[in-house]
Amino acid sequence: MKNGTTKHTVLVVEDEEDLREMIREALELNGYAVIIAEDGKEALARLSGIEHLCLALIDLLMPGMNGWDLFHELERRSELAGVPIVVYSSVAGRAPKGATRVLQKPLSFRDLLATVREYCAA
Amino acid sequence: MFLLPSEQPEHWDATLPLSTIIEGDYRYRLLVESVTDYAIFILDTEGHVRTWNPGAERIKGYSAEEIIGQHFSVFYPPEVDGKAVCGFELEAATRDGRFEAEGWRMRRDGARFWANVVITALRNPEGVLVGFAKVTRDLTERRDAEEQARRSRLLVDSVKDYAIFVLDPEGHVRTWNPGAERIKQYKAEEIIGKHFSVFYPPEVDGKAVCDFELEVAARDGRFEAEGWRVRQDGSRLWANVVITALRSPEGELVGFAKVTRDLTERRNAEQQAQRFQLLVESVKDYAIFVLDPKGHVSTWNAGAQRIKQYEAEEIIGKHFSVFYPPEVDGKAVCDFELDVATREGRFEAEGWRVRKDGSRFWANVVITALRTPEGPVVGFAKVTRDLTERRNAEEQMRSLAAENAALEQKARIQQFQEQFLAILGHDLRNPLAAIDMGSGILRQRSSDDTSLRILDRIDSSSRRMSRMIQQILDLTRSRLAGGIEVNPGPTDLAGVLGSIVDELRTAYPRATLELHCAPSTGTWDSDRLEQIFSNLIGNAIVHGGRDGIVRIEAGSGDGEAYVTVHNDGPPIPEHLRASLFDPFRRGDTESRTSKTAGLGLGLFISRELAIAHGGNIEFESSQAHGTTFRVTLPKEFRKP
Repeated sequence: MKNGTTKHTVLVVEDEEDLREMIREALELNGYAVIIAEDGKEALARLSGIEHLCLALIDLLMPGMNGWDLFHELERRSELAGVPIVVYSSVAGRAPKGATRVLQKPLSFRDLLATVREYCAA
Repeated sequence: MFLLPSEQPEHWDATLPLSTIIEGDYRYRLLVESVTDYAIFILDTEGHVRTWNPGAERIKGYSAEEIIGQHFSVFYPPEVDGKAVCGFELEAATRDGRFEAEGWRMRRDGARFWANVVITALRNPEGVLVGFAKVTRDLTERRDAEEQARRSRLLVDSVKDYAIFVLDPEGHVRTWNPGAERIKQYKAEEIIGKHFSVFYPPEVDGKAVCDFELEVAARDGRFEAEGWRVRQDGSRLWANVVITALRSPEGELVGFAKVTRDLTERRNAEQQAQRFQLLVESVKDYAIFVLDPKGHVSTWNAGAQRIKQYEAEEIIGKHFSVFYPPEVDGKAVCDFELDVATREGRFEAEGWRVRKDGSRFWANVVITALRTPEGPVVGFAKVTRDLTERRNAEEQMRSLAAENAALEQKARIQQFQEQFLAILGHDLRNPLAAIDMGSGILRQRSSDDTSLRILDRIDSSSRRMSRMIQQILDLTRSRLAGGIEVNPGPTDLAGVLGSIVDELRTAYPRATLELHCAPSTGTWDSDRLEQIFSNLIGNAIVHGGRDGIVRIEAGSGDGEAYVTVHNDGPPIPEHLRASLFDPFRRGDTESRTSKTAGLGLGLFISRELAIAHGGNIEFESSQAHGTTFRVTLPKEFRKP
């Protein structure tokens, strides 16, 4: 956590660096703590360092561990029960059942912020 | 029995002169003159005939008047120096008292006979030679018989192919020839005296059979049979046996002639031929038959009947060109085939042939020339197999392979399409999302008008780009990947239309959008409905009249909902109407320069989406009534 422990943290999993960094900038600009990972495996590795996870924002098509596998792994973990999982993808139609919300890429700044605000207090 | 004077010297009156002798003792004369089986006559010391008896006349053909006084050399054949021979004979008789010989003599008519001649010197009591007695017997018949017997003997002795031997009346072997030795393996000394039942196989009651055979031969003169016999070494032979009764001139049974032929090879060959014929006749999988040298069918087997359907009596005598399809010059092809078979011994081919009922079969044909050992072709053996099923199987394999190749090709294309769609959907959209995000961040941090104007441009370009990507994706899916995907769910049509109209009012503040919408719900994909109506309404705004009024009405009935989008602008040009829903449609250039200009895919995709919902889009356009697009959507989703 970069900006102290009081903030709620958003986990962003996205393989494309430009987009990943842009989302991080956008969310941090609006007062969120952000943890980024470039695939499912890295995301799982980083989970242990997160104290107050308020939202997981995950892409589906990723090299390494993909979004579907990551989704099922997150769902399986009891300590994450109740944490919303938002899927944002270019293949939104194929999102796993049980996703809290599904967003179709391209994801606009406005939609991103609106969604995150629904679940997380900045 | 007539006795020669020289053999009975005690009865010979040697005191008598020759004339007396000639005149003869009465008894002798009587005797001599009654004898017809012997020529008995007297020669004078020089060899001239002096007396003549009936036997002489019968045997030699001369009458007494013709021959008396002539020299006896006339009885000799011309090739012999009769005079010299006669001189020698008389000399011998004079010296030894007697001369005997056998040889050819001539009758008066020139015919020859085989003569036994005895010449006896006649002397008076003083020992003076007074003449010769000559006794001649005709032995021609005896000689012929002897000759024949000799020849027969020679024949029998030399014959190797037949066992020829004599049995005594009880059936014991009395003679043996080389043929018998060859066939039955016994040597003469081993078998002579043995009963001929030894030639029978052990399982047969040889004695009884032999008795029966001899009984039949004795009764009928002849017995003939074929059957198994045994050689000395125990091996068997198939024998033809002829037993002939031998009887003396008086009719007494003196034995049997037995002639045995070894027919084992012939029988084997016959049986083999028979078996082969049986085999050929019973073979059902191959048509096997013989053609004469001209190509006419001369035999027929079960396989030929099965494959070609003709009965033997229908086809024998016909030319084998009848087996060819009508489009082929059967005669020419047949001639060619026989020509090759004649020249090379064999012809093989595969091709279509015709059955009796006209149906075709794929045949493998082998034609083999049949030649005598001397060489000329006496016919052809033709073996035909029906390979239709094999050919079909091969064809099936081939078409299966082609199908597989097509499937593989299709799979490759599909894989390519999926990659293409992935690039479109994912790889092109991610950078757009990043641009969008970046513009959002900058907008939040900027307050000057210029920056905001630039950010507006970035956003609108990004949206256009995003829309085009969506359109190409939809086009690709509808054209290549099995149709546009729709995810139907409960949808409120009025709600969808309301939000679109709101959005467009914002985007086109100068346009007037009138929405008349009765509540209407159905099972639809709301995102896709948005896509349809934002396209149609957007078009109506762009192409609308100066007043900019676009009228949208929605309603439902008869299980379906409808939406009409109307504007009063200039009608759609006639030349565009037929291809209005085609992809990449070239609209008027003006519309392409406008803000919403895309790829010319909007109407195409809108209609594809309506169709994907089981509905459709139609339009009417005229100067008087403006342009109306009408979308129909079944309330219950059904796949088109």
